[in-house]
Amino acid sequence: MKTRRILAIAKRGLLIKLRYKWDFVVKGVLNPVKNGIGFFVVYSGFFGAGAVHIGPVDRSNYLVYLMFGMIFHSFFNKAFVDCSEVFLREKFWQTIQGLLVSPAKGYEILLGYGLVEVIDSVPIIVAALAISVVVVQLSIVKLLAVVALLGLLYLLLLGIGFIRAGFILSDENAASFFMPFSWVLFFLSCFYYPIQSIPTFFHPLILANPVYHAGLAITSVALGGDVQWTSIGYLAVCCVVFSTVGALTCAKVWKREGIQGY
Amino acid sequence: MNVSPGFWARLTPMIQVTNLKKAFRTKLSGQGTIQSVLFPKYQSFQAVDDVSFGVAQGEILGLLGPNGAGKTTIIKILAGLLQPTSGSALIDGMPAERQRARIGLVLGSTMIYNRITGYENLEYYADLYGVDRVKERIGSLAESLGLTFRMGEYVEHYSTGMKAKLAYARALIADPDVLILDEPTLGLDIKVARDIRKAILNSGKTVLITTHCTEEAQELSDRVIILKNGRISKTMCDPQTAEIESGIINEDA
Repeated sequence: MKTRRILAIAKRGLLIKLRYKWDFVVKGVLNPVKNGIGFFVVYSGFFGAGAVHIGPVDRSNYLVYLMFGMIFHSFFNKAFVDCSEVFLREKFWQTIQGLLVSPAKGYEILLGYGLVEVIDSVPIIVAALAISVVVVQLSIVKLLAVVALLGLLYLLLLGIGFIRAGFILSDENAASFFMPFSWVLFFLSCFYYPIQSIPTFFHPLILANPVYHAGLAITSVALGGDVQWTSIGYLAVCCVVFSTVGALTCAKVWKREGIQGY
Repeated sequence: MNVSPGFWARLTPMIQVTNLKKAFRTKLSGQGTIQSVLFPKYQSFQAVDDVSFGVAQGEILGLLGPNGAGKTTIIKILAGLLQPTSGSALIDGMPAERQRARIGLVLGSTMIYNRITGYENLEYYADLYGVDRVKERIGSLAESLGLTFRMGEYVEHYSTGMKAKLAYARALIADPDVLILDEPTLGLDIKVARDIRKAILNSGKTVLITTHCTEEAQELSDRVIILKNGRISKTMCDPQTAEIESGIINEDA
């Protein structure tokens, strides 16, 4: 794996992104706020009416909880929607072949695209971490742990997203085919609500979902709770597996039928 | 290059294509009925059918044929953009996947980003291919192709000819051993086409070039292979002196 290639992909992506500044404002700031504001209204009304807590979420920490939900949601969109969109765009620009015939490996492509797309999430990450430091008095060590865990979550989601992106390169039908899976995955990931608020018959599915464990591990640390080592271990293993499968799938799948549709 | 007919064919090939076949599954044209949309029927289309040839080191081989003859499919397989149904396409004895850094590919004016500058395009590819002394390399390529004064402009402002030159510079950025060029002068005016042909002739590299222009194939190639319906219909070892039958490439177009 060569850092130079990863940075080249990221730099080129950033140069193109910089030509669309409103895209950054909308995706980086307005979209996460739009996603979280409904839940903010619900939680504030809930606790304002006298509720004490829902699972680990209470009156004192729900803002931090929601801010991290916004980060997870933002990562989810980056990995599942935006990366695929960039691939589709490059497919129709007919530039993607340049990358695919180059010596860049699947993992380098994944990390390069991931790096440039995560830039949109920086405002919400900074805001969430700042609020955590102020509200929960998060220590520097825990802050760094949260950042590292966010990195693992993003890599995991990128891996899953790249499986979809590889299929979309060959056949755009795949975009719609994979979409319901992403809806189910989103619901089972509990970004904005704790597992305790979901009917118990969903719990086995939620507990099998590595994205849920990532959120659990991160919010536990960010809210000042116990470190969820089991969740962190499960996240780390799934992160390696899915990012590897995603990188390999993306590099191989389109070759069978070719890049079609333009 | 002034060598005897058949000289190139006797050398160890840098590019070796053996019994190459590629079939695509294509949708049968429907009647516009809901049934044909919901339950489409497919048929297999043989784009490349048992094609074998070699390109010796330093040789320029022209693949000549009408539209749909299978030229681009062969190029894409050789570049590693497509997997063959059967057969093999090797660069210096290995599949393209393992020789990517040694292949320079031109597919028309594709693979160039319009929304960044010419320089940024070449710099990006130089980094992907691990080129040393990037500035000097880009500078010399731009100068040799007459692009120097436009390298700082967004490619979206380039003319078709400038984009074609940039695409050619992109293919040369890593100083590859093999150049695979798919109709590199298609749609260009006479002067730009001549510039690019001159650059190809002076490159000194192993070149596989596709074209449906008879004169271009004769001017550039040491050998010419004529493709029709995915098959080799003729191989010409001395194309400059041979008379390519009138209409040979257009009868199926």
